[in-house]
Amino acid sequence: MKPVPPLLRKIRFPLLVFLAGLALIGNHTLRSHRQSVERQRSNIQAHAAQVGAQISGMAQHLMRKNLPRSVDLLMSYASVSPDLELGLVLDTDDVIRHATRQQWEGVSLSDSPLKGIGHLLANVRLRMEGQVTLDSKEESLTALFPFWEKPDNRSKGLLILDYSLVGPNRIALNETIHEAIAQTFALSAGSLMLWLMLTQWSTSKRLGYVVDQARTLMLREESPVPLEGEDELARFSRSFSDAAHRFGENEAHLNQLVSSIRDVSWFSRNTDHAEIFVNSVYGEIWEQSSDDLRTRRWGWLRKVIAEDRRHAIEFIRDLKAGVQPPPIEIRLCFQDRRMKWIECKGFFVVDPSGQILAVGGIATDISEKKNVDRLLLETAEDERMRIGQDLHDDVCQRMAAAQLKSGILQSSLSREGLSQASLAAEVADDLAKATDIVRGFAQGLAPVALEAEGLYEALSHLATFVEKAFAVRCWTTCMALPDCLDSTATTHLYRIAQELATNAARHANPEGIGISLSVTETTLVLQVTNDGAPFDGKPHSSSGMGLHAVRKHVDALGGRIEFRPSSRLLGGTTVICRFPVPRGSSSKPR
Amino acid sequence: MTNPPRLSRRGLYFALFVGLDAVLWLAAFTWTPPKSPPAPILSVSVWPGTESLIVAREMGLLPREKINFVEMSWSSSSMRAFGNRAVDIVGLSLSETILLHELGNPFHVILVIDNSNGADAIISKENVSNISDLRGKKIGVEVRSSGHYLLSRALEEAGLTLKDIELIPINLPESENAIAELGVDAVVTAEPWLTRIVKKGGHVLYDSTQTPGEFIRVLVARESTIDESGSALAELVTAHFKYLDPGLWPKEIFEGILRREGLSAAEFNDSLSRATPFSRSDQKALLSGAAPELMENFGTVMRHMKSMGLVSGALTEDLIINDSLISP
Repeated sequence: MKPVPPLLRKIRFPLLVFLAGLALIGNHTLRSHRQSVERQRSNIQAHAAQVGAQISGMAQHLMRKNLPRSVDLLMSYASVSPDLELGLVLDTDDVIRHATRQQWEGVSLSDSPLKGIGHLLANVRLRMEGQVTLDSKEESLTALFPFWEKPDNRSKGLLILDYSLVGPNRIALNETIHEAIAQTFALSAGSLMLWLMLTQWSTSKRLGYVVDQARTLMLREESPVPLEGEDELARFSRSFSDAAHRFGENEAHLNQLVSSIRDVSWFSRNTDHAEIFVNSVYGEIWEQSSDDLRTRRWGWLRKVIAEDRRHAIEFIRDLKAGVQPPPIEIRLCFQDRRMKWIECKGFFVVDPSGQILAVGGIATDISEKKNVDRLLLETAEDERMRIGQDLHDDVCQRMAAAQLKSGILQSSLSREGLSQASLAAEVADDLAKATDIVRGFAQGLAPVALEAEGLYEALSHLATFVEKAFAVRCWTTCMALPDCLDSTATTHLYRIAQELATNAARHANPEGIGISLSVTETTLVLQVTNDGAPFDGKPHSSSGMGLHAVRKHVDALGGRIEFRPSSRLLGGTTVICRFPVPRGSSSKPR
Repeated sequence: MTNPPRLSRRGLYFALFVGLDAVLWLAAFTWTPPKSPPAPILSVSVWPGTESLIVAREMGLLPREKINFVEMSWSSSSMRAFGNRAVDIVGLSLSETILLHELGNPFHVILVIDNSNGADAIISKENVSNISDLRGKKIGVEVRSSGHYLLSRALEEAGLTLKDIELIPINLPESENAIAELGVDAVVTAEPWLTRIVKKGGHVLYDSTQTPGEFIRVLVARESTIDESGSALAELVTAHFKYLDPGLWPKEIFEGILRREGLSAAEFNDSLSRATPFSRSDQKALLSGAAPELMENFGTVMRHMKSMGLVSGALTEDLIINDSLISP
């Protein structure tokens, strides 16, 4: 559709009014002209009837009195009418006795200019009634009035007045045209005034003022004084001003609220290239200015570590698609190798039709919480180590001593030939088994191999333990580990492997369990695989605590855990835990 | 930064539009159709000297929209019609013009038509041989007309007055049969009835040849008509001069003129010879200048009329000789 030119757009309403007015004037002019012509004709008709009746009556009297000059005088005065073309007084033989143009006196009607009306005379004389006739072209009007020429009931004179309608028609046209001109002037003046009012005084100017109001709101400038008056625009302007005022107050409240919270709140319209609004906390957590987001909308993603970017992008994509994603945790990494944990929650805003209008969310720094969790884990680990150590160093020793004593007692009783020797042997055997079990617990609680033989040895012991405890084949593979792994890290790794392996043995009923450790330049991967019943990572009631503990350990190392099927055909579950390896770390051989 | 010239130009346009709007409103409320006065009404009598105007009308030179002709057979009726504003232009003799002027009608003399050289006359029965014989006789005359003046002049020359005769008021057309039908001894008449009466045996006792310069006929027009319809009057004057020569009249129209006059062609030409027309150049001398010659004629007639008691007042400067329409 072609755009309307600006000039036409400005004048189109007054122009439409003008054109409509012209149409009305045209219509009125045509009707007025017809009425004016009719009025003029009626006037002539009435005049002809009046003059005809008067003169015919007087002519009858004067001619009987033989006063022809008086009839001449009557005809002279009749010709004062500007529209009388010709007036004739005929005698009974249709000879013109008197005429307004005296050259026709004494001439027969058939030789005069009015010879064309001869056919009307007989009827008028027969009825002896006056008659006013309009010619077919409506250009002339003829009045015929009979009179008794002589008192003999036979001699019938006739007065003929022939009026031209050309002049009256011209007058009617003239009147109509000038009336139309005056109306056109009024219409033009009215249309021009309307245009001036629309553009200069009234609607357009006031509308422009309201637009300026809106613009100041968009530019966050002070809203101008609203329009005065009681018209629609004034009320709209006042409402707009009130809304802007309330909007400003709400915005101030919102800013106050936003500035008081310690989380990053962000908001963006769901359109391409829409600006992202974030509160000032963003600068504190991301340690970069929020202004950067105006030019680089994805600038916040640069601080997110590579492993988490995909999750973050999927999170945003789900929000924009109207799918409510679960909260995610991402990690920010800074140049000084510090890392922050961020929990992200999102929401989206829909209009009544279901269209996504905007997306937003809260990003909470949970690094402190993660540290607390880690400390709790470390404390628990310390306590576990202490208990294991106690079991190993005290209980196991005591039980070993008791077993030794039981063996001695059994030997003594046997030598005595006492029947209690077999009982002592059973006690010694039970103590041996109990010692093995307690030692196993002690090793589980305090895997001394972590420190003494390294993580691989501990995992090997773990595999042995699993095989013994659950009668499941278990094996370990391990690549060279980075030298940056301290005892805390290896403890966390061990605990993760321990929990996953025992969980798998306990719940998945597998035939085999594999534990592997691999390292790339940036990532350390701990993988626990089984061929038992598949598990999707969602904790069941019985194993909820164990998985929770696993996640805590993973978090403590800044890692991420993933559950996936081992084989599409055979089933089983592979749990993959990925941990970042600080730059500059080197691997040490196993 | 604002641009002052642009703002001032915009303000100028706004002022122009407001001004234009005001003009349009003013035009809408004050617009009236251009004044088109009705066509002036010319009263023409049956007189050889004004038949040129009838010919011009019949030739289409003077359509009704420009000049409306009212044909009146005698001058007193024309004077009355002029007085009651039924007509605007009328052809009169000097004495009639003076009488009209005395009644207070504002008019201008715009054209000198002709000079009567015997076209006005007193006709008597055969038993009356001179003016002095008219003492105690019945004389038919159109009162307050040139005939009235002619009778007075004739009586004056014979040492008589109007009191010495019995005046029978008639109108001019009645003069034709007045001697026979009204029993008058003499009748004052003018062309074309003069020719008709003579043809029937009438005896010319006295005529206008004996009072040269006193029976000039002029065309007078209402003052307001000159203002409103000056161009139409100019065309009237031009048309008069155009058809002054009967030789230029088409046959059919000439026949109509003869019917009007009630004369044969020879009789008409003869009567026309007794009403000597004034050419356009003659008009200059008669009408123009600080002291137009025509005023002398008016003065003469006025003097006689006053001495005979036909008028009571004097010729005033209100009698305006207007030569603006006779310029070629």
